Amino acid sequence: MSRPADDTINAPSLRQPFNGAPKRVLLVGWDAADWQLINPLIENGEMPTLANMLHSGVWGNLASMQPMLSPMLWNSIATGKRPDQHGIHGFTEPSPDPGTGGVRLVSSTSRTCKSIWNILTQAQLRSLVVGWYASHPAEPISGVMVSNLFEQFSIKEGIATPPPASSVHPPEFADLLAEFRISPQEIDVSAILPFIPSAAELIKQPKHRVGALQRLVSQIATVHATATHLLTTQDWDFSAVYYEGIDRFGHEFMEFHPPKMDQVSQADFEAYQHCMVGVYKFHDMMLQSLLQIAGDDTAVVLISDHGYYSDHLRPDPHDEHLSPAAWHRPFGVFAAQGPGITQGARLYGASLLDIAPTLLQLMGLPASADMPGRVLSEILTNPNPIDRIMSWDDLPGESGMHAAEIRVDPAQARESLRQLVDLGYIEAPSDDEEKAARDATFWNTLNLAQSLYHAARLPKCIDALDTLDEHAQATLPVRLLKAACLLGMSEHAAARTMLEALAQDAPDHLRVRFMLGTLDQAEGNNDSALEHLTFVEQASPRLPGLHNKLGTIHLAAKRHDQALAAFNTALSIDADSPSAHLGLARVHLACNESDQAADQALHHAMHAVELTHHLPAGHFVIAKALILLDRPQDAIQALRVCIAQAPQMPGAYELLTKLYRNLGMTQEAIDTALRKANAQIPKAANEQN
Amino acid sequence: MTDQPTIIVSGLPRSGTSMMMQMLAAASIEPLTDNHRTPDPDNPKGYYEHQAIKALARDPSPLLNASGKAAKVIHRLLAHLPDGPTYAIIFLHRDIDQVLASQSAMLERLNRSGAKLDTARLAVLYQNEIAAALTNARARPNTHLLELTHADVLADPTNAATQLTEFFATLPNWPHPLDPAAMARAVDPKLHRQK
Repeated sequence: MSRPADDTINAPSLRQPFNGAPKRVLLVGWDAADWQLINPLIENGEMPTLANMLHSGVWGNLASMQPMLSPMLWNSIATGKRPDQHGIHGFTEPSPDPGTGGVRLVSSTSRTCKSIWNILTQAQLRSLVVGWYASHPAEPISGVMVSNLFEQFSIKEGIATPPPASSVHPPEFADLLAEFRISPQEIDVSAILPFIPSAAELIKQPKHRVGALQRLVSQIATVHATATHLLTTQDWDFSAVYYEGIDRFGHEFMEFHPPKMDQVSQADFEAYQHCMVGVYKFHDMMLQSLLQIAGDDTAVVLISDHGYYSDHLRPDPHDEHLSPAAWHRPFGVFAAQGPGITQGARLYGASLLDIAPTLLQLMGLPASADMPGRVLSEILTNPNPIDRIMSWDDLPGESGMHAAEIRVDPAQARESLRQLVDLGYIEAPSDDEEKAARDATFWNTLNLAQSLYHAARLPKCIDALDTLDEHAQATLPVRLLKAACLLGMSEHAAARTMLEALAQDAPDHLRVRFMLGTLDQAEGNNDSALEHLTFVEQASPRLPGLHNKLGTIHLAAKRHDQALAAFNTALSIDADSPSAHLGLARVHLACNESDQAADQALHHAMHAVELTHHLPAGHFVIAKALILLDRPQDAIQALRVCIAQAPQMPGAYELLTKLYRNLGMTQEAIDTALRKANAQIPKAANEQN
Repeated sequence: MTDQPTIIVSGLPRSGTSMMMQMLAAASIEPLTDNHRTPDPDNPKGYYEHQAIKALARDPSPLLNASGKAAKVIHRLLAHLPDGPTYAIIFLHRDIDQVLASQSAMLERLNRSGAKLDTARLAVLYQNEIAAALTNARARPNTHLLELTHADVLADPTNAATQLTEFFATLPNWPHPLDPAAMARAVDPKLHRQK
C-alpha cells in the first residue's frame, strides 16, 4: 500500500515512532566482508564482538547485484535504488572540468536521487556519514559528512597536506578532523607484525608488500579514528561508517590466504598468509569500540556489499585480463542487533536494496514506492511496515543535497565542454584526455546496461547500449550483452543473427558458444545445444553457469540422471549457487511424485530462495512441491510471492487458479484468472507455458 | 600599480563579452590579447582574446601578471582563476535561446559539430554552469562582481556605461575614473543579430 506524496506533506510529520524503537541507528559498512571467511574465525573465537552480535541479534546473507562494483553497490545501499535510478555507474566518470585529465573519481554530484541521509535531513534528523563511496564533495546535510576523499593526504617536509577541498561538511570541521588522520609512517612494527610476522626480514628484500599493508592499515585507522571522534562528540540520530579495508586487503593479499594457491610461491604464502585473518580481527576490534560508543539504545546494522572468494573459487591472481570484480562473491554479510531488532533469528533472502527501506522503518519513517527493495520486517520487533510514500525525491524541502546547478550528468557536462572547445573558447583536450573521458563513458554505460540486464529490464538495457557511439557498439562486450538481451527477450532470430556474426569474428569465444547453446536449447535443438556447451566444458570446465545450463538441457530431454549429475557438479563448484539448487529441485520433481522426491525438491528450492529471495521460478517450484506434500495453503502463499515477483508468469496464475478451485475458493479462482488476463503476458511466455 | 584588480570579462560564448571588451578598451583599459583570433563575420570588431587563457585550467600563469588589464575568460574557466590577484569580474547574461542560436551559427561557419546534445538539454546545462560559476565567484575572496545583461547594454549603453563607471569606482586601488561616454559609444547595436 502506498500513499501519494504531495506538497502538503512535510517530512517530519511522516515519522511514526513505535514502542521499543531505537534511540538511534548505526550502519557499519565492511566492503567485501564474507561469512565464508568470518564463520571459521568466529568458531575459533577470533572475532568475539561479531560472534556476540550474531548471538544477540540477527544475521544472514545479503545478496549483491551485478555488476559487483562497490561505488554502484554502496549507493544502492544508501538510496534503496538501482544504479539506473541513482546515477552512480562506475569508479570514475568523465570530468566536466577542463584540464583535469579527462576523468575524475565518481562524485556525489552525479547521484540523481536522495540517499538516506538526505531523507533524514528532510525529516529533521542528524546524520554522521564517514567515508561512504562516492560521497565527495561532502553534502550539506544536517550533521557531519566526511567524504571518501578525506583520507587522501601525504606528508611533505614533515607536514600533512590539508584535507581536499569540500571533503568535510561543515567545512569548519576540516581542520579539527585532519588531526585524526593517520599516515602510513605511523603504522609501526607492533601494528604490522600481527599481519606479517616476518616483516623485519621482508623489508630488506627489493620487493615486498609491507608498504602496501601500512598504507591500507593507515587508511582504515583514519576512517575509524574520524568516525569514533564524531560519534563521541556529536549529537546524532543516524550514523553510517564505511570501511573499505577488507576489500582492499582482499585485492592485495587474498591470493596468499590458506589454502595455498598453485600460482603463489611458497615464500610469499608464508609471508602473507595471515593478512586476511588479521584484517578481519582488526575490524572486529574496531566494531567493539563502535558498539561501546553507540550504547545499548542504538540499533546497529553491519553489512557488506558483496563477498570475496577465499576458497577454491579464487581466480588466477596472475591473469591480467581478469577484472578485479572476478574475486567478488555474490553474497555479502548482514548482521544487526539492538532495540527494534529481534534476537537470535536468521535472516534469509535479503538484498542490498532492502537496507534503505529497513533502516527507514527502524527510524520510524516510510520507505517510498520507487524503492524496489522490501522492509525486512521479519527481523524487526515492529513488523508492520509504515505505508510507503510515492517518492522521497518528489517531496519538497531541504534535504542537504548539493545545489541543482552542480548536480550534473558528467558525460553531458563533457559534451557542453566540447561545444566550448569547438567554438574556440577553451583549449582542446589532449588525445589522452579525450580517450580517458571516452573510456569512462563507455565503461559506465556498459556497467549501467549490465545492471539493467540483471534487473531483467532488457529493452532498457538495449536502449542504454544504443547510446554508445558506433565504435563502442562494435566491441565484443557490447555485442555480447545485446545478444544476451535478445535471447532473454525471446527475440530468437535477431539473437541468432548477432551470435552468428560474433561466431564468425570469434569462433571459439566461450560466451558466444555458450549463448549459441542457450539459443539452440530455447529453440528445442538440444543436440546442437549440447555440442556448443560440450565445447565450452572442454575449454573451461568450471565456467560459472555452464553445468546449470547442461543440467537444464538434460532435464528438458528427460535425461534425469545426467541432469542430476550436472547440477551436482555445479554445486561442487559453488555450493551457494541458487540456479544449481533450483535445478536439483526441478529434477527431483520431474523424477517422480513421491513424498521423498517432493521433500528433496522443497529442500533445494527453499535453499535457492534463501540465497536469492527474488527468484520467481524458485517460489513456483516450492509451490509445486508443497502441492505434492498436500500443503495447499502454503503452496498458495508461495504462488502469491511468485506472482508478485513475476507478474507475467502465466503458469503461476494457472496453478493458483487450479488450487483455489480445488479448495472450493471460487471467487479467488475467478479473480486470479482475471488477473492473468489483465497481466499483459507476452505471447512467447504463454506459448512457452 | 601592481595592486590594481585584474578585470575579468566573463559569460557564455556569444553573450556580449567581446562587446564588453570593446567598451573597456574605449575607456583605456588595456585588453589582455595576443590578437591571434582576428575579426571575422561573427565578431567583426575582434575577439579581444588571448590564446593562453584557453588553457587556464592547465596553466593559470597568464593571469598572474595581468593587474589592471582586462581579460576575457569563458564562464567555464572562472573556477580556474589563480589565487593571488584581486579580481573585478564583469559577467554578461544573455537570453539563452539567443546564445544558442548565435553559437549554432558560429559553429556552422567554423564547420564544427559542437555538443552532441539537444539544445534544450544544452540550455539547462549552460544555466547550471552559469549558476555554479557565479556561486564560485561570489564565494571567492578578493573578488568583486558586476552582472550585466546583454539586452540592457544594447538597449541603453549609457546606463550600462554608468554602471561600469560606478563599479570601477568601488574597486580598491583603481587609479582613474572611466569615461562613460566613450564606453557607451563603443556599443554597436547593429551587431546584435540573434534576436
